[in-house]
Amino acid sequence: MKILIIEDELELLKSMEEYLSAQEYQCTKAPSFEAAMANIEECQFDCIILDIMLPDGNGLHILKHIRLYHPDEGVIIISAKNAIDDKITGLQLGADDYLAKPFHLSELSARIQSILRRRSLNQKQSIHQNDLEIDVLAKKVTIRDGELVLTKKEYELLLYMIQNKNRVISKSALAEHLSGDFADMLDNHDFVYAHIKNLKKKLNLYDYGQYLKTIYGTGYKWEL
Amino acid sequence: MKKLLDRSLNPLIIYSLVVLAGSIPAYYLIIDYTWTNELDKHHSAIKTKITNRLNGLDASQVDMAENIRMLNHLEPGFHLKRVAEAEIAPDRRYSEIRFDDFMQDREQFRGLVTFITIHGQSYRLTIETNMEEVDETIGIIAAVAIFFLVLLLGGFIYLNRRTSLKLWNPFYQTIDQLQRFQLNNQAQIDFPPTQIKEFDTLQKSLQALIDRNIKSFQLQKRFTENASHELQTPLAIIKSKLDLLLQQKELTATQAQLITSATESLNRVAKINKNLLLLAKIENHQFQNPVPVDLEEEIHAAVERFEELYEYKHPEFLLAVEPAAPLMADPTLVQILLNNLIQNACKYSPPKSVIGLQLNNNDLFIKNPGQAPLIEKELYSRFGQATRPDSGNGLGLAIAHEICRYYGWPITYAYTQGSHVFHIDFTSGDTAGLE
Repeated sequence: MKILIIEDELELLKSMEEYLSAQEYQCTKAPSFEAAMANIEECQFDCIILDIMLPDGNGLHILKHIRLYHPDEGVIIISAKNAIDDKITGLQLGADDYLAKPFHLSELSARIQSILRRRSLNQKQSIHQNDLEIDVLAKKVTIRDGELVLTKKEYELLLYMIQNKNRVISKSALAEHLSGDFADMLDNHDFVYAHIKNLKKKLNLYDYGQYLKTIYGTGYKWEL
Repeated sequence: MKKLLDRSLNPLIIYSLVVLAGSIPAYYLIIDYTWTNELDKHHSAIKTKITNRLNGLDASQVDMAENIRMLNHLEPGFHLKRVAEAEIAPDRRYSEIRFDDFMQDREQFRGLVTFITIHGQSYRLTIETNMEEVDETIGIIAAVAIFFLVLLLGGFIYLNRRTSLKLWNPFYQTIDQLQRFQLNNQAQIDFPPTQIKEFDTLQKSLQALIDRNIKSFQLQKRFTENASHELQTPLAIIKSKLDLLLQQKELTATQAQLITSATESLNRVAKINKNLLLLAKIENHQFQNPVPVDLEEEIHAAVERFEELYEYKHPEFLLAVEPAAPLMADPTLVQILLNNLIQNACKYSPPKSVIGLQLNNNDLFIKNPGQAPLIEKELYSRFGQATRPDSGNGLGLAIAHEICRYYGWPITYAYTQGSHVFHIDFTSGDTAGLE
């Protein structure tokens, strides 16, 4: 999968590239408006990460250009203008998703995968992990033909862990992901722990608990 | 506190009192002196006239003794008596107060005792004239003085009120304008025009002061907004680096814990930053697209969200939510308002608490059990509850309050029967925030 990262902050650009490359994405970096336009003209990407605030041009122009000439490419906006109304503008202009800075790299990765899956021609819309299958449309999880009945939060947690497989996810990142846009659960890790515990208990019924690993009591990892 | 106009009148009144009080003895002395002097001159004239007339009579033809007896009998305040040569003394003038048989009252008299010679015989002449008593004179003068004093002061007060009120009117209007001025309303102040130089200077100085204040207030708001924006990128870089650090293969448990602590603190900073930015945006009136919002629907969505998030605490939501008329507001702000209040109720309640939500006629009540009443004064202050260990970032209620203020929805807090109750009245909202 090919990803173009448009971001003028070089350190952030490097971080995103490093994390996503380890996820086996092929990343191209564009630190300016000009470099971004050149890359978009030259190559075909599966997903474009777009910082709309660039020193030499407005990222929203890039978005309009992509929508006009490359309608198949997924676009995720990242912006320091973290207002929710900016999000709406971005989405109205045809972005697939919007992520406010600062974000966890695991969140970015999960969002990219969701976009890629939504845009893929494969209509099955499911994720396979050995015997585990997640039907993202129906939000149903099955292991060896047996349905794993999860609460909404447990389901979100499992999906997130699998989307960031073999990566260590901090409790904070999970708390932020589960909180969503409005709630503020950051100071409260009890609920992450509670949901993880319940999820692991249910996975254990199918001998799948060993994939969900606790790392030094500070984070979790879906390890294959 | 005294009013300015009364203040300027007081010294005038006191001064007038002193002058008029001093004038009473002065008037008396002058009147008394003039009168006494006049009577004395009168007495001297009578003495000369009587001497001349009596000496002009032919002593051989009239019985002088009989004449003098007649005179003494007929003329009031007059007495002529023959005296021996040896009794002659210098003239004596006197004033005395005594009971007068004729007037049946105490009267004051001015008298002259003198000696005259008629046809070679010495006589003692006593002339007395009734004059006004001292105490009565003083009384009358005092009465007149007081009458004029009252007239004078009454006039002073009336004229002062009339002219000063007119004169100070621009000043009072300026005070009134200042009292109604609110820095965060973004409304300019408008002073009444004046022809008086001092008031003009005052108004210009105030205008300059207010303009500077408005400017610095706006700068401060802009600063908050800009600072928050500028912080987002470095925060994003730190966050991404910590995420990468956590992926290192040879990480020890201690290192992992250090990274996690740093991430947690960083997320707190990011959240505070985000909330400050939101507050700044509300204060800067940047939410200007009201659309109809279905409160009932929003409440159900928020409750569902927190039911899931606080599943581990098993809260029981008791809903009595009736359909309400659509609310004209920014849906994001309404969601934030509901979320902050409901989350607040979930967060600070013990496990398995009953959290009540009631909506009827646009009146929303959110109720959760609590040990002791909260201090209302500090409730909505930014970082007001920061001393609590589990306080979060202390901005949730401040934001809720700011949203209510923005739309003019009164929000009140009460502690009744062991429960915290927040009440928002959505009906009384004005459109101030929607201009």
